[in-house]
Amino acid sequence: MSFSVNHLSLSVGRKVLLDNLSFSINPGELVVVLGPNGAGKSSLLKVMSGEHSFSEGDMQINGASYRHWSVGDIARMVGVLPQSSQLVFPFTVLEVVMLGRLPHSSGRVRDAEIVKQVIDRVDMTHLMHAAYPSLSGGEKQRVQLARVLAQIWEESALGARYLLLDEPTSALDVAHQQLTLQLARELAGKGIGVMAILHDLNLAAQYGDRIVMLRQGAIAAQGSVEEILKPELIRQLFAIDVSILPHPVSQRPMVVML
Amino acid sequence: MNLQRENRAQWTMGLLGIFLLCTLVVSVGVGPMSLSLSDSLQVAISRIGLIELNVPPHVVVVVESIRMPRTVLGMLVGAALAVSGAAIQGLFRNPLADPGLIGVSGGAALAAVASIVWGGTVLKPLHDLLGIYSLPMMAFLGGFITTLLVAWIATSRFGTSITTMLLAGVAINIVTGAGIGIFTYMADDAMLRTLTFWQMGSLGGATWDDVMAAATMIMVAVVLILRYAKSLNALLLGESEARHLGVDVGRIKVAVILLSALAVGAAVAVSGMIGFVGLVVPHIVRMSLGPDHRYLLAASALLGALFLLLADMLSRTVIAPAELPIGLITAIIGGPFFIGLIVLRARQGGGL
Amino acid sequence: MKQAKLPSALNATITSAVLCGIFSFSIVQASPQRIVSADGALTEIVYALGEEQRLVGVDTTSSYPALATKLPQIGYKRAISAEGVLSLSPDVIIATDDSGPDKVVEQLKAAGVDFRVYSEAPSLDAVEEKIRHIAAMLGKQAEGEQLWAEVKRKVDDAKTQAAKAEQPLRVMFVLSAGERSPLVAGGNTGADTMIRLAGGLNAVEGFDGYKPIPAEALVTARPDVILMMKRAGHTVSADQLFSQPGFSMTPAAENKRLITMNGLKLLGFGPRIGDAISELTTALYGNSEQSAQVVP
Repeated sequence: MSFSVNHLSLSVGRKVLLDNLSFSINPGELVVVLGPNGAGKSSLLKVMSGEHSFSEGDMQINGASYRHWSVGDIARMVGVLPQSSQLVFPFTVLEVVMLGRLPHSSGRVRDAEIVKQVIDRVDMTHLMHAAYPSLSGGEKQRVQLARVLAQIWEESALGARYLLLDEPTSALDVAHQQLTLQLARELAGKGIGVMAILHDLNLAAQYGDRIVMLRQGAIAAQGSVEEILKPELIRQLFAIDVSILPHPVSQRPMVVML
Repeated sequence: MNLQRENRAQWTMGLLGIFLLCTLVVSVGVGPMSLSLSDSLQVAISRIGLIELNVPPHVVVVVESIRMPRTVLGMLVGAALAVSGAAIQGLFRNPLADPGLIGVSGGAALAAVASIVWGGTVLKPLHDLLGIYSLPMMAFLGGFITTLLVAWIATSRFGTSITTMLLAGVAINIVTGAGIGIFTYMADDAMLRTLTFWQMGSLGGATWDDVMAAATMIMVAVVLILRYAKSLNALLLGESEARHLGVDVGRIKVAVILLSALAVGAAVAVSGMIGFVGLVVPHIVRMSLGPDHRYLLAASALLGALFLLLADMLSRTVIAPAELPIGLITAIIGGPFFIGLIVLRARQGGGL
Repeated sequence: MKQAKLPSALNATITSAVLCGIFSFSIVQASPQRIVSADGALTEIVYALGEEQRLVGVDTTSSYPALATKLPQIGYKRAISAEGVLSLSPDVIIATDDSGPDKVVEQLKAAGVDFRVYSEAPSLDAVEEKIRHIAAMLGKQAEGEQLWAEVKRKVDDAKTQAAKAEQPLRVMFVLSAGERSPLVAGGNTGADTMIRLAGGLNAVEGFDGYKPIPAEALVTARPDVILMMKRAGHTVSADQLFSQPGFSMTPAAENKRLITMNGLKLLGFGPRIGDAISELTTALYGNSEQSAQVVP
């Protein structure tokens, strides 16, 4: 069981946005997608979340082709956290998170329990009844994360669950960046396959199991964190000079700009 | 979930229901003709078969063929306009979208006017085929086509632009206005009479035939729209987000647009252009119950029916024995309300 | 509302309509005492026959005599309210065939009120019919005949007077002139009939009803006289009118011939039609042998 893409390509007009990508997200691991701006990270997420169709190749979730699943089935297996969400109408935090239970029919009592738990997990309990539009950017992002968590909180009869995160840390302060990725890590520990698009190489190093490095729509490299975070590769892709040191506590690689 | 809001919603809807019932009774009991309330009610109740009728015949006529159809039609039209307003606002994620503002009512009215003027000539086969339903059907088609047009103009691959949509509405209103003008020019005197009635909106002259024709279409549309409440909630997050939550966005959009056009078309067909109900009513409901469509849609239907009944009672009593067109009353209430809404949003820095 | 209720509702409506019909018919035989008028000309006729005390309500087109406007108002003749009219408990409603809306007329008839419809056609025959019928309804046949005879005499006088002119004048009725194209009367309009009855020719040909025409068409229509309505507040003066492009190039402009008349009198097709025709003929051809009279 996995969420895999095989020889996936996407072109719009004559422009090739994704070029023959193959990789998979396995249950229990956190895959980080890295790459300079314009490498195709967002396009990849859009295709994997069903928002764009793809031109060539194939995409499979838990052994069946993507097209085999209904929109509702996919929603019971895959949660997607968008970069930012605008909401003009004044839903409360509770109501927004409750929307995450939409694909499920687990009953009001169970839904209410789950919603309480996930709101607590993203540290928003004190603002539970606040109107969503009145929140700060970071708070909104945490509420959206809670909503997606509510969506995939319970095991699915359809197989493994997956969480796709589109730059989940961009609007957050340092503390909440850590909180978010710790949460993602924890979900992976529970058997959920997580894919996160990140910009910060050190967050990738700290939390990722594997890294998929994109360049100009194609996979430039993929492998374990240690295999990918090498000074030569980073110089090639991002045009910066770095050195890689072991993290003083966790001993994982740490990227230091020179 | 949110127990406070849920409780409040149930209370509010209960109260609205009771108010509506009272207003309904008053509406049947009040008019330029001073009939005793008990006589009027006796007529109404006797029709349900509960009691023996014992009032003068002219009371029966006034209550049964003037006040009752008018009251029922008012409720239907009010509910139809308010629910479609709420649904379209949810669909486009814009509290300012109103069937009138974005040109849907105009499109429906243009088609209805075409149906009046061309009824005996170009559209004769259609009229022969559909009978009393031809006018509502034409109005529905007009509303539907304009809704699709507005949606198409306003939607690009970046999503639905609110500003573009309102601008498209302005443009479409100009075009439909001109179209109605052309038909007015072509119309003979008898047609002109009917056209005048259209443009100001009125529940005057409502017959049971009107009620039958409108009721079927409006009730089907409203009940089906209510079923999309949860999907509309998800759509408020954005189209992609709704899709990730398992909502078949394309299908819901078409369905909601179609049903709204059906309801607005039927309402416009029997009562002419009555503006601002679809804007004002959902907004008031949202201020008290929040944007959750599970309550918003149902409460809007109740409040819309109540609002139009009250407006109609004003319409037929303020300058009695003459009658003030109901469209003028809703516009007098709705216009300033709309201005207030825009000012408030601008002050909050929300823009459109 | 509910399908099952409809037939019984209709049934009761019809039964009671019949009952009311019989009831009100007997009243009508005794000449109606409470009359609602939904047309200005009909109101004028009731006044002319001296039976205005029977009027209990009038529409907004009933503005002459001025006293009529003090009566309860039922709104514009094309947008009357069923229950509003019924609340005046009329024995009879007199209206022309353009009163409405149709559905409201149906409801009024269903309520058992005697609803009498007269032709609104802009013709002398229609005036005769209206006067005769209303007089009969009011039990004032003799007064009716007298009123009609007077109208007829004035119309005939005007004909004689106009016949003395060397040739008929081409008259153009202008409903409104301003920044936009002027709105003028074509065939089959009240103005057209009045122009002909007064011994003139309608300068506008080729269409029916009131339509806007471009300035060039004004010139090709070659009107000798422009006829307009006198309006409170903004009556156009001859100088203003004939300085406008189009109007300035008509034969009427050479002599500045503009006739303005009270609109209701000119186009009402009521009992004052005889006076209106006399006034128009006099304005066109003068009282004496002189054929031109300048209205400044």
